[in-house]
Amino acid sequence: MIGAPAIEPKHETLNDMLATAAQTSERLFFVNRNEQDLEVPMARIRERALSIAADLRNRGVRKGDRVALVLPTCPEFAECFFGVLCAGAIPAPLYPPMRLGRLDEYHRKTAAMLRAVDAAVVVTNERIRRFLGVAVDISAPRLGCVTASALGGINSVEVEVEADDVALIQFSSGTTHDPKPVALTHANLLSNLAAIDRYLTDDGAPKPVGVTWLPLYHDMGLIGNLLSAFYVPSTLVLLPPELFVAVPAAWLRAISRHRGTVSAAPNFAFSLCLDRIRDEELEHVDLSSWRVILNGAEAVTAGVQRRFNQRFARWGLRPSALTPCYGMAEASLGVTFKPAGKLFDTLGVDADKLALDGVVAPGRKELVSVGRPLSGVQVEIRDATGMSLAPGRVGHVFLRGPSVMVGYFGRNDLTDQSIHHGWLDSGDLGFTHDGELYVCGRHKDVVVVRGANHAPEEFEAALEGLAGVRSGCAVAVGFVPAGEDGDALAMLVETTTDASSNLAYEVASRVQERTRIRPAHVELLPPGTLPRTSSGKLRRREARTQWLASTLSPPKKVTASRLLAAAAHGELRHARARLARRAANAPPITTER
Amino acid sequence: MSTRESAVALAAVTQEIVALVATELGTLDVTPDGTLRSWGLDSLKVMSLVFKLEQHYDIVLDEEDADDLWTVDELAALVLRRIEERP
Repeated sequence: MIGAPAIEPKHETLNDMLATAAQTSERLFFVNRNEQDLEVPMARIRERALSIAADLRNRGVRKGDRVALVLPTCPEFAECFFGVLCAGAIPAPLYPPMRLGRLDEYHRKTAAMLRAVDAAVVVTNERIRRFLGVAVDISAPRLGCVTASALGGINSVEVEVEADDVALIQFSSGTTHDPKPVALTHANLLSNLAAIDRYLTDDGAPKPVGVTWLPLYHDMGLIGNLLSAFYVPSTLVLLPPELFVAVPAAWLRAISRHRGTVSAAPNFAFSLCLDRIRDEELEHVDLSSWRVILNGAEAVTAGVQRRFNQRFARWGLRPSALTPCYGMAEASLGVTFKPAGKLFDTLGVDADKLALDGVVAPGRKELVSVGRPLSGVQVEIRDATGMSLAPGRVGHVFLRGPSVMVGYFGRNDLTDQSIHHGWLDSGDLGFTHDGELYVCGRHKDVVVVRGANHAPEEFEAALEGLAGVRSGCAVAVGFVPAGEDGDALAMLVETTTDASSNLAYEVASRVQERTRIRPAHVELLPPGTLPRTSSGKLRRREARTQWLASTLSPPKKVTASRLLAAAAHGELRHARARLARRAANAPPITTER
Repeated sequence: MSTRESAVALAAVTQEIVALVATELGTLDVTPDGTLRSWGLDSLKVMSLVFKLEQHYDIVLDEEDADDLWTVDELAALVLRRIEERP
């Protein structure tokens, strides 16, 4: 599949883009926790950026240095982001600590990211600074840690940069366990921004007004919203993510108040709106201006989208606005979008044929199309040997285009694994149908929960030392629970003979305690049940497929085979419970191993 | 605040937090001595709860507050401490 020809971006560099936007009267609105708007003109952002650049240079930041930004959604984020660029350096936004979160984890992960980019300096605010001490100590950035409010002065500087210079290192790819520093050039980013701009402003659409609560350390918030607003240039309204999470109606009220035309979120956010927003919170709200509702960053489900459309139609929501999309940090951001102006497409497929044979056949599992390639983007589905596959056949999703990253920063090993002759291996499985892309899983082992990627290892490692769990014999997999709309975590765990009857609960609690994510399902299994490679390594994807198809079975000669026969007769649930009890309590189970 | 006033305030805050946690989880099965994590209070719900506590009591909860925080009782004690520190 191939999108329209690449569009020549309006600017050579993000610095040029900022300079042009600053000539207009466009502005950003920062919504505070009480839903009051603070207006900041783009011209003011540039003015501050140039003085921050001068200060950074003065403090010893050199061209090409990496500058870590650890800031919440606030004007300082935009000022410092562009300030770093104007200084000729490379911004690397990192996530701020979570309140009531686990600090030891935060220190470790932040230190790892600072080291991965070899940050010269960390820019943060007064509040967060107190929590960065440990990470800064460990990673020892050359110029230490400064607060955004301390940066600036009467001088201004703008260092000359080139289109092929790296303009951003983002960590929204990879997993929290093994963050991957995606390095994008000015040309990469501008090419994607141009394609998104074309999508948003094509066919005489009104000038966009963006509204977002997405965190700015994530690609969808940073590139899709903040940078996109400067590219067009157009008004952008930014809400703190925690305001949306606590008061989802604040998102819809902001769209109504500002006559927003475009806003993006992961699938879970639409679910949250359905569950949490009460009708009376939407008095006088009018959503008729909302033309493009991007739904991406995690699996898109048809049910949630339909319910969202139904529920909010009363407030003027247009059904064609919901726009499933697909993208990734390695491709700057956007890859495919639903074509504008029509309702999203779905396809009913046979789940077993899809999972086991890789063939698309009519069935009851409903998949949502994520649309067609953006301008300049090429998508190809390939089999395991690298051969291109025809429509209707499931394979690895590969893509190519000017917005694909130059590579992972300082990690040629990872880059070589991902990019082959200019084609990026997305790590996703999918197929094409009627000229549109459907994504149906991962071939790399990643568990996606609420738009965030997690390595299965982080969940599996949490069980280390837990009594009743066979050491190293557990796998973490993603799945969509029955009746639910989003991806969730399942733990498939082999038990020892002395396991307590409460083990499933203990497993769930332990995983949650260590990772902050609670498994939606824990499956207890007799020893030897999980499929392994010939060298004894656990095969997660195979385990997941078998578990979902209810064909996970203990090795032969297991005394539990009687129970499996019962399962075959439709008593699956009971059988599972009995298996679990048996595994948990009692008589030793003989295996071949 | 006298000891007695503190105790009364703590009881009131505890009750309010029990109600907030219950709303967050959509269950009535919340008790003051139960651990926050045992109810499946994941990171998103914690984020929402923190926001609501801060708005409701006009306080700021810190990242470092988390380490010895397990039960609603402990969370209530923390909130009260922050209320008393309020300028």
